[in-house]
Amino acid sequence: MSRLLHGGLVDRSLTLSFAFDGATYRGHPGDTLASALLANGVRLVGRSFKYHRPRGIVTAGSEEPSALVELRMGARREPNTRATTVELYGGLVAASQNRWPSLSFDLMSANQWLAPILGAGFYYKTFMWPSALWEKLYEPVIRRAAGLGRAADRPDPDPYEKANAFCDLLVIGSGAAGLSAALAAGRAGARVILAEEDFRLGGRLLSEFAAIGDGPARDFAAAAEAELTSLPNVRLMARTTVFGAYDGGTYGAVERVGDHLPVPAPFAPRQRLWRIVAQRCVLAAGAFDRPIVFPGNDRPGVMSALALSTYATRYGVSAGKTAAFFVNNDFAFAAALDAAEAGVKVEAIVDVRPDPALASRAQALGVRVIQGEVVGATGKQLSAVTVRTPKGSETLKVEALGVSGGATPNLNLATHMGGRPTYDETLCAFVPGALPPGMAVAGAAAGAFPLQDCLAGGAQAGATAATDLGFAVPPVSVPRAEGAPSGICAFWHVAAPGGFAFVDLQNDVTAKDVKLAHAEGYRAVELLKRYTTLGMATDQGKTSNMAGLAIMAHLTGRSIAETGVTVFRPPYTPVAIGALAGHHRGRDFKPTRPTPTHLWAKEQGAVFVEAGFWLRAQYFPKPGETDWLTTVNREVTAVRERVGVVDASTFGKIDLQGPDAGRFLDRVYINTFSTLAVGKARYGVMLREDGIVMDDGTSARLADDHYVMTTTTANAAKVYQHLEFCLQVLWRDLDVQLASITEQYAQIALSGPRARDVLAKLVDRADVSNAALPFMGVLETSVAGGIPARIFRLSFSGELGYEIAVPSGQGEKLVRAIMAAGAEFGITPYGTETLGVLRIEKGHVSGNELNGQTSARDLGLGKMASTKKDYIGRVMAARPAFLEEDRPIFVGFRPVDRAERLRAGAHFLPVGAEPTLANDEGYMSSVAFSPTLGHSIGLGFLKNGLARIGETVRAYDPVRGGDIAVEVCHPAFVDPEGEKQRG
Amino acid sequence: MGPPVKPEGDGGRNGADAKNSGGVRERDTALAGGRTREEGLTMRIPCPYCGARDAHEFSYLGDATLARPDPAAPDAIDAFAAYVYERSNPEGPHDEFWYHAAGCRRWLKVTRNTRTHEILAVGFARAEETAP
Amino acid sequence: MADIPAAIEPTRLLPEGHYGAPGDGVAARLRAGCSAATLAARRGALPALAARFAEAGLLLPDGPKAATAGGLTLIGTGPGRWLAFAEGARVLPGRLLPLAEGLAAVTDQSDASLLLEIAGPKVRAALAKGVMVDLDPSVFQAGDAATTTVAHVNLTFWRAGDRTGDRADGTPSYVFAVPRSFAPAFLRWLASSAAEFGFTMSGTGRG
Repeated sequence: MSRLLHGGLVDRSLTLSFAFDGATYRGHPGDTLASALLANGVRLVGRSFKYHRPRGIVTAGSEEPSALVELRMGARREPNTRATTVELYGGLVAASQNRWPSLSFDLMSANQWLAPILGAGFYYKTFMWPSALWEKLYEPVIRRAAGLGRAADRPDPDPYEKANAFCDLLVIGSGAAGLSAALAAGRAGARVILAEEDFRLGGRLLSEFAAIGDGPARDFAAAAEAELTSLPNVRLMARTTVFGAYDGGTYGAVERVGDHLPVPAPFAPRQRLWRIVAQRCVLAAGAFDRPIVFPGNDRPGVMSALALSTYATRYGVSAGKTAAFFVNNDFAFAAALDAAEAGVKVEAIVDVRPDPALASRAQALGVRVIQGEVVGATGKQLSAVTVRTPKGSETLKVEALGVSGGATPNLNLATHMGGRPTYDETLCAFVPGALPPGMAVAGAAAGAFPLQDCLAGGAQAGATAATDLGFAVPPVSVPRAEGAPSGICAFWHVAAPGGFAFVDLQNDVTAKDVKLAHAEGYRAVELLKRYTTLGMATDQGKTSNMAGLAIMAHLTGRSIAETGVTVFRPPYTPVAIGALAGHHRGRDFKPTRPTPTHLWAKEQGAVFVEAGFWLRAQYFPKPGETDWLTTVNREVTAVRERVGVVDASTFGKIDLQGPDAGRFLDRVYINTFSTLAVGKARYGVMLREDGIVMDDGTSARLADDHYVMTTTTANAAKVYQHLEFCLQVLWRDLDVQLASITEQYAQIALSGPRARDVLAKLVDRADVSNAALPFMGVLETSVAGGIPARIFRLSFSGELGYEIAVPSGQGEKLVRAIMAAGAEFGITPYGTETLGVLRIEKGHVSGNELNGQTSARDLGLGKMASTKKDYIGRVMAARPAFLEEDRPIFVGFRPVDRAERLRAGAHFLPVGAEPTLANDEGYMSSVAFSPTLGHSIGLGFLKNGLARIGETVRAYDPVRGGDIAVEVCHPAFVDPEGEKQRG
Repeated sequence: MGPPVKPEGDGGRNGADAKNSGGVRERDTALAGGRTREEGLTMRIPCPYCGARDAHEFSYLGDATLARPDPAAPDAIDAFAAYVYERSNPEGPHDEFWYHAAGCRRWLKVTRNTRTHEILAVGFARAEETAP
Repeated sequence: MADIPAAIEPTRLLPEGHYGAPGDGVAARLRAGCSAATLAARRGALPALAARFAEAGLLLPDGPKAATAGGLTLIGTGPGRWLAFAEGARVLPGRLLPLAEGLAAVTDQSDASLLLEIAGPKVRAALAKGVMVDLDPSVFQAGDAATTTVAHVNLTFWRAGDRTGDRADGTPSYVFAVPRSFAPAFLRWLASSAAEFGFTMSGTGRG
């Protein structure tokens, strides 16, 4: 056991049991999985990505590149969780990754002997030929050998959700700078959100023995938290990672609501995705301790100096029986001394600098200081390190080595909007450059490393934000903090012979790989990243990037500033897809819009189909009907011979009022509406300004200054937006008011020879004779015992037809009344399938024909276009190409052998012609089996089609193996003269 | 009797939603409610009526400096071709039309810096409409 | 957030009852028996329209606000545009027509939306899971209204004004006008979002 006898912020009075790779261990509340594993002496926790080398715990935070584990089991199994951020709970189960058959004996570790092949860019160079083997052999083998954890193979049983928050100031990070910023702004009355990714507020203050004011740093953190908790205008959000900075002061964050529990609390989510809109932001995310590259630096036991210290001071854990440090800066040197003070047996601090500022303090603590470099590490789990000193070489027998190459400000979020960091030679670090609007950076994230600067900088940033927003800020008092030096000597890479010297532990990128990339010309940092994979995957190179680019800078002879850094993009740490989806998954993936008659249709046994968000009845099978075609044929025949009823409520419906409504419609439709008589409806076609048809539908005139328009279901919102554009932008002088009435009205269509008989029984007192309500007539009356209704005599099917619009709350009552009234006439409910067959038989265009490529002339509707007025799309529809004789024109098709089935999507070729693009003459857009005619029929577009009626062409459908002769015909297969609908 | 056999999609242009491949094809616009982009982490546009809202509530049209040409002019086809197709892609401030589809349903003229997404000015496209 | 029980179909209104954790954090009530209409001023007629409404003792809010007077609630939804609600079936659009004569278009919307009163001590925390408008009481005050999108549903809501203001116990109350066909989806989202606080649905019967 490596738990120190005392100290740390874990609750030793309670013990939690957990399992790792099948063995049971114990830890305490306040532990992370990493600290608990180290407390149990577990140092080997995984195998590396490519070479399957044994790996351990490297950091104590979210920047962890190495200790990735599978957490939980079954459907809750989560791969690639960082043991360093997993909060320990009783019953936790975790497993190591990427090892086979076991962690301590991994056959794949043979990969490391293949390193000459698997080096930088190997997948660009190796296995290139024969290419056929790539899918079958190379990729499966590589995928088995290289990789990380396994995703769960069952749906995630836990809920996730999204939430929105607004604040004056968002503070990211709760260390000295973050707490000070939140206090300064919170005391001034600003609405503050303080987000901390850790489960405990305090940041580095929890791990340092430095004093603030009269007490330890962690007491300051506790007092600050208590004060912030007492302020009603401050919201503290622990376990919350701000993962992205976006436009307009918007930030994305994930709150791990239930990740620290075996399963989320009842009715609580596992995670909550926050969208935070902040007027101002203080980024106080601290800094990362970065490694020094030397041979063997990936041995389990080699870790960040600050992490080694944190495990001792915060968790009361010594990462090894004996430890040493290898540093180039005072900050890590101080942390090493803290570790010694906490009880870690520190054999030595190896410092590359000759006279470290804290040497005398080390001496006072009895810690030996060696000037030199660590040049090698041995043991599958670290057992010794070799130190090269000016006097020679020395071996230190240690189980843990804390390494620090300096602090890298965590400025990730500061660069999400494209700002480039700048290199500070004194600090040996990149510091934030141009910042997102409204953001300030404070503390270590800004390169202000000394504790006093963190306190002062944070307070200043918080006060400035509050002042900017108009709050009266009380005088800010910053407590005195124990001053610690912040000296550093640039040192990145130990030049020494020996084995692998890793730059990026997560991707197994070595110093040699960087050299190879340089030799092969991949010198720009963005190319270096892609070629070597340095800085990719779950940690995005938080700890490794600096050493990689420093080595590249050295190789190219450029400065680090000239070499630059790769761009950080959101997310800062990985975000679960479930959190991004929130409520919207499964049946709630998108809203389901039932039609007004849904309940009735369901009672009738309807099969439903999604149409955008709508759920519409597709067909109504009857007992004994075993396939959909039988049902549809019955429905079609019923409409043609008797009468049918269908819910058409999903059409877009728009109310247009105002003195200029008629003139306005003249400008948006190709045909004329200003001359339409009150009480009449007309079919209209609308173009886009480029001359292509946008939508079609009917508009009816209810009064001189009042029309109602219908649009297709799919284009309802688009047409409304288009009309508003015309009114608000193009013709601002027109006095027209629009209102969407799609939701207000249920619209039920009656079709078939007996439709009038049904309607006559339905109306309360109106005359619906052909004379009183002729084709395209409109009647405002009441039906079914007082339901106010608008009756439009329209026909989509080609039969005698009416559409009855009633308030949508009455839609179900209306359809039941229609069914009762129609029973004696054999009324039959039908759905979208029959609607489609009827319109194809009649040769009416629909969505398949209004496909964004067709003009009114292409659709055979060119004659509708008025020549006496201008309208949207008129000028462009007259372009020569639209008028060419051999442009594909809308016609009908029937198979020469009537037993053949037509296929939509088939292309037309002259009989005997080769299937080449040059011979392509058009395509089939819609097909149906016509029960009325007893064979398959189709609609489509054929070059100069109208002049070719009677001709035979080839319908070629190579995708489905179709190749049949079809006869070109008039598109109206049923009642081409339109007598039925007028009768 | 058993349940009806699930029809096989014809797989034509309309695959999933019309069985007979010619039905009333409702182009599957999940955006049919007027939404144009995924909600969440996008720009914010200060609507002069509704206040600042996420860009997902708006539809984008583009260049707001274009005027619909005179359809009666002799060179109308050329002028319309330019109006419909020709766009510059300026860096920096750009006047553009946005429609507040999920809000007040007003067309807005927004001056946006195309480099930074900073919104420099917003007004109603129809100037007579004034902010409250 | 909790998943809606599988037995509740997405096409039906959420049935009456209690959902989620014990407690009364959030309650929603379907308000029946109202009528509604949209009112849109004719070009240039806004001043005259406002004057006519003022003469009749009615408030025509200038902006996204809800104003209630004379049994009529008018909510600003855009420049020169309002959504009007009145207690009682078929009260609207009739009451508005004489006031609007020659100055505004009136369109019946009595069946277009369902009115939901959503209230309770945790109402803001629940609504924040979909409402992307700042509901802080210092920002969104009684009488404020917004037309926006919530969980893919375009809707208008307002914080109840003076007469029907916050509940007697001081907890906030909001009214949502949800498009009829989207109401089932909206209530599924609301019930999921409010479940952790304890959620009670009323007025929807068996859904």
